[in-house]
Amino acid sequence: MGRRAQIDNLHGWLFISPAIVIFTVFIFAPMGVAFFISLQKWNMLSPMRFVGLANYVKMIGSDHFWNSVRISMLYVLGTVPVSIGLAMIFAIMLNTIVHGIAFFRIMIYLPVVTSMAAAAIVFQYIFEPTFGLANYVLDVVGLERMMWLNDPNQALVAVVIVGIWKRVGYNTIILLAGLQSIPTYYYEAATIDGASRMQMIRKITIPLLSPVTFFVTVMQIIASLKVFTSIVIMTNGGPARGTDVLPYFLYKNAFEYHKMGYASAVAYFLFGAIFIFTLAQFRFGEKRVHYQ
Amino acid sequence: MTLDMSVLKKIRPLSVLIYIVLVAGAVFMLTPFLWMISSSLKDVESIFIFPPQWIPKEIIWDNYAQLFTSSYYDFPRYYLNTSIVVLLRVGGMFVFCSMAAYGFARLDFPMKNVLFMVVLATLMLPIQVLMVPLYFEMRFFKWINTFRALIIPQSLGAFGGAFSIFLLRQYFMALPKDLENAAEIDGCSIPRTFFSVMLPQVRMAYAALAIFVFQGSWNDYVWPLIVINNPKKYVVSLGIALFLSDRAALTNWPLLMASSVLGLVPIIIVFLLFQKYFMQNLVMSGMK
Repeated sequence: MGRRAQIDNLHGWLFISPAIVIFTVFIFAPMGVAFFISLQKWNMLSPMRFVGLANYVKMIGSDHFWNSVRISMLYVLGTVPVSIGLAMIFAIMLNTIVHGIAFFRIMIYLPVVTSMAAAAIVFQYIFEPTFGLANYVLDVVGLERMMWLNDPNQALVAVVIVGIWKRVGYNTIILLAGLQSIPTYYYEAATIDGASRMQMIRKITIPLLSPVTFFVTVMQIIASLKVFTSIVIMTNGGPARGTDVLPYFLYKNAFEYHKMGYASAVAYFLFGAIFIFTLAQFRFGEKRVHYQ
Repeated sequence: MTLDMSVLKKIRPLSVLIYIVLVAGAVFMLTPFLWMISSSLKDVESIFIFPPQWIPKEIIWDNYAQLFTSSYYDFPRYYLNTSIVVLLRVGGMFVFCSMAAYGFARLDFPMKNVLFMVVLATLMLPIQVLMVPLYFEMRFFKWINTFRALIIPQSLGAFGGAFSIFLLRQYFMALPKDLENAAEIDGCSIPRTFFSVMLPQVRMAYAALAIFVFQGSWNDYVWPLIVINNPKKYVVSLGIALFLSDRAALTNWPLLMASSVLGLVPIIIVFLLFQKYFMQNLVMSGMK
């Protein structure tokens, strides 16, 4: 190795080392420690006791755990199709209009930048059954009033609505960027051939946009699996565990019941679920959007 | 790119429909904000009025006054605390992420690509998985209830900071190699080249990244919730949710709405001023 290369090596390590140290201390080491803790029985007060895979076995046999898996899946099924579908409609429309694009982009994106803690408080007020805005809207359109956060099933609907409200803008802007990178000559050619608007959307837009759609769908699934702030503020997982999504289940076991080992086992389960979707993105999602 | 204008002219009714749908979308997005502002200017009695009043009969500023002067709330302090945390995280991001990004972009060393992949992999890590062990680590370091717990684990800007490193690396890679060659001929060392030649070249990226870190830090709720329980150390996101620990106070919706407005105003101002950078970040993160 030449002297020049040695100097380069040395500097390379020097330049990345602060970041690598921070990564190691605050991410990689805790990841390892989490696995170690998941093999222990530990309430933070008495010493740890090694229990092998007992926490995982307990998890698999726990009704409350499976309830949380079910609620998380329902939350994903509730948020993903609507949020992606709405975003697709908004993006195609924004890509069509001539006036007011900037205005609508800002409006649709506003919820994305705001704090979920503040938004969740406002929505808790909006979903108040007696004088909340949500029931007022139902009155106006002539539908029956709902109990919202006071009913296990309707509470899930309420937090799903909040989740959609918060993330539609993110999906819209990414899809819009994808649409804008589709070359216009496809549409010009189709216009000359006399294609209708719907035909163009079906035969050009949707296929060429599919890598971006795949990306935002996977990102939306991951975000929905991680939902936490709206739950902790609006429902505390209730009523009757009706909104007890996995991240909240994990949090409560760790920081309210102090079952650190058990919570770490749940954390690894959640990590595994998210990892599968991440892998799907790397494996099947094209990393760059190519059209040719 | 918009479609050919002639297409649009043929289908006028469609474009009316499009605007109706977009306006409906904008109303759905905006309603919670308007409702929050409206309610924050009411007194406790008038929020029970049904149907709801959008413009209060009598505008009451008292809720805001309370948040700044009562002994229970201390918004000036929450703002100060949050600012300290945000500034130090942004500073950490500037220094550490730039260095790492430059290393990954322009210097050669063993295991570079493997390390870079490992760094990128952290992007997908959910904070929930780290909650328990990081809390344990903070206790071990005796950092619970200190700003250190809020700042140091996130001194790359956000947890991991992989996004910042990734983005800055892209910027560095786009710079011409001649810059460094010229600096080397002039006798600059690698660190000197980095600080005085290369860093100034990527300053456009910093605006976008500083906003990215600001947004994430200002809105962060989960991590402060876990490591801070002393109200003197509260950041804004914890401050606005302070009532929630006191269920009896929950009936005072106007006060809660005022606190939410205070939590949202800074981030919304920054967003409206720099919205170009917000969207730019997003699109870059989506298109990597």
